[in-house]
Amino acid sequence: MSSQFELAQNPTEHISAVKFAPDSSTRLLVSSWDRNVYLYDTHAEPGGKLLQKFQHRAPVLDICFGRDDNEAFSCGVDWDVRRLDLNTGEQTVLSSHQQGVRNVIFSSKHNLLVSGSWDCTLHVHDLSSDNWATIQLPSKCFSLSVSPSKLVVAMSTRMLHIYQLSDLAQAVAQSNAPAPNIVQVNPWQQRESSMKYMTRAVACMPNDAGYASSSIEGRVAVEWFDPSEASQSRKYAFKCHRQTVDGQDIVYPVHALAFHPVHGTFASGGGDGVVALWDGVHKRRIRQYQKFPASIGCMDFSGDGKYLAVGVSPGFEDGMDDMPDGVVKVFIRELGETEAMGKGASKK
Amino acid sequence: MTKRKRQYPTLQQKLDRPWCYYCERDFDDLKILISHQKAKHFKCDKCNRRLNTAGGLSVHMNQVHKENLTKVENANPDRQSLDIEIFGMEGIPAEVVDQHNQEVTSKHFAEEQERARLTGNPVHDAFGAGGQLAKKQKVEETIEGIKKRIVEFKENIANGGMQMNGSGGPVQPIGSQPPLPHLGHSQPTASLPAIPGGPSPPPANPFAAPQQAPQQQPQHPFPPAVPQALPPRPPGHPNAALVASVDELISSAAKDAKDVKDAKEGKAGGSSKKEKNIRLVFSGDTESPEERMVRLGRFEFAA
Repeated sequence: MSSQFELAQNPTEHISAVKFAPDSSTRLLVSSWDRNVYLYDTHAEPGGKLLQKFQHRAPVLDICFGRDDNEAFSCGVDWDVRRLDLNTGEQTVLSSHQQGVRNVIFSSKHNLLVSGSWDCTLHVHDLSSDNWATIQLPSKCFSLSVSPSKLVVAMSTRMLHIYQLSDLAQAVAQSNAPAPNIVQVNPWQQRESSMKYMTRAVACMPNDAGYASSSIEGRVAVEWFDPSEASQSRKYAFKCHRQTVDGQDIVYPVHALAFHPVHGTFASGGGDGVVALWDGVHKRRIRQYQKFPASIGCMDFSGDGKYLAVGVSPGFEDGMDDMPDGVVKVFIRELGETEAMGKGASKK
Repeated sequence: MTKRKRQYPTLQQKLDRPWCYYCERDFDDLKILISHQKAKHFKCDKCNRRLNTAGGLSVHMNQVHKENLTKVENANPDRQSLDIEIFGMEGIPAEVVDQHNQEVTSKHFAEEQERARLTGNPVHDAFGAGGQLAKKQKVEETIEGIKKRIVEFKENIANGGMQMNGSGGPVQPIGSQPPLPHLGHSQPTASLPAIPGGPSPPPANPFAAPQQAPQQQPQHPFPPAVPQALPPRPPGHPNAALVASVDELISSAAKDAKDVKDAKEGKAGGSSKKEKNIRLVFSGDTESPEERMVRLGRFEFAA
């Protein structure tokens, strides 16, 4: 059976990221614009238990788990990439960008931590040697995602780079110049977004076949890595997260994408407060959940695919000179056995 | 691979589609129709068993649930009767079939006409049922013939009578026929026999008439031939008003051309018509929402 509840103790400002621990589907990290990172055990007591709070000096824009359930990395408006020891609360600055740092992501297979910043660089940290290198990007980093072998970087100006993680690992291993240690790594592929508007989020398929990206104009594109014509001709984009009010189409940005680790289907979360599950292979919407009370800023499936965490915060819209007040909450949805299963899978 | 569908089915294809007596929906395939009927109209609401006919469901309800079925579920109000035994396409009364076919036919021609209006393309299968494209008339031309026509054309221009409907006008593309330079005498008449009857809608089509407003002359592919050196006069326009009418023609043609363009763009990408009535909640193109939030000041960090 599926059920849904909200965490009892929520951040006080916008939620920038929610992430489940790799080995535990009840351990959840939440980063917020209120300058804190929160660690919860979602099922220790009803409404979840706040285990710890890690204060930062600036709004935290992203968070990810590291090599185990007790290591995390954060980044934020203060230009720093930090390592958090979740047991002791100790924070170490790993590197500093020249601008706010939008994303951090960890690849366990290659033991690499990658951060992407608005200063148009990536920092690639080799966690086994604590070496790190800088890779120049043509424009600002807006979203990062890793598959088992690739890193997808979505940037402003609708650019998209796909790197082989092995190339990155090699480049960092070979170069140990002092910071910023700029290395030249050619992307495995450079693409332009197939959507007309700014890219909002990108997420890789867990089976390493491709990725989905979303734009601020209520659209999601699904593409495949394989450069062959046959695979490329399979790519498509579709409209979603829109509603018609008085004959006017209101188009919301699609802030969040997350792939289900088991079924390979994916969820999209939009400014309209709607979370929808899609079967990217069969081009079907599986289901759409009841509207959440505010914009969906971020989402994550737990490692076993049993839970979906949804970060809900009021959305930032055109013409606002302050953040709107509204609900800031993390919802945990327990998925039924077949809830996120695609069409093909259910036939078996 | 399945056979690629024609973009626009012919009338015959539409008439051939199986359809449901109870709700007038049509289907690709008889099997789908039957499963539709079983699921929508012949399903027992007590035990979800799908029966083959309304009669079957009635008997089932009677025997299994001791209830009387009074009407067919989900049917149009005038089609709820249990007395008519329907299975797939079988059992539909002849007058209902006729009525359905008539509706499909008139809808087909209405759509076709609308499409022709939007795209400016000729109505293809004017005699619908045939399903064949009207073949373009092949024009046999010799080098001499072309040269002769060039000379005549130049004379024409020299005499000040630019053919407004012949070759080369930039607004011409809406003209549905291939833009044959039309110069009355020089055209071998034998090659043009079929044109007057050309792509006009079938006489029976009630929707054809209102589309052809008198000002839309340029859509008429071939105006009546006139002696060369005189601009062709649209019928009904007095000579004095000629200049004005030409202007009007050009502007209406240009407008039509624009409509066509719009329609095409609408098909290709995002619909340009809708675009006007769209509001993006966030519409930056170089700055993400997060960057703007940082600039609000509340979250600013001075390093």
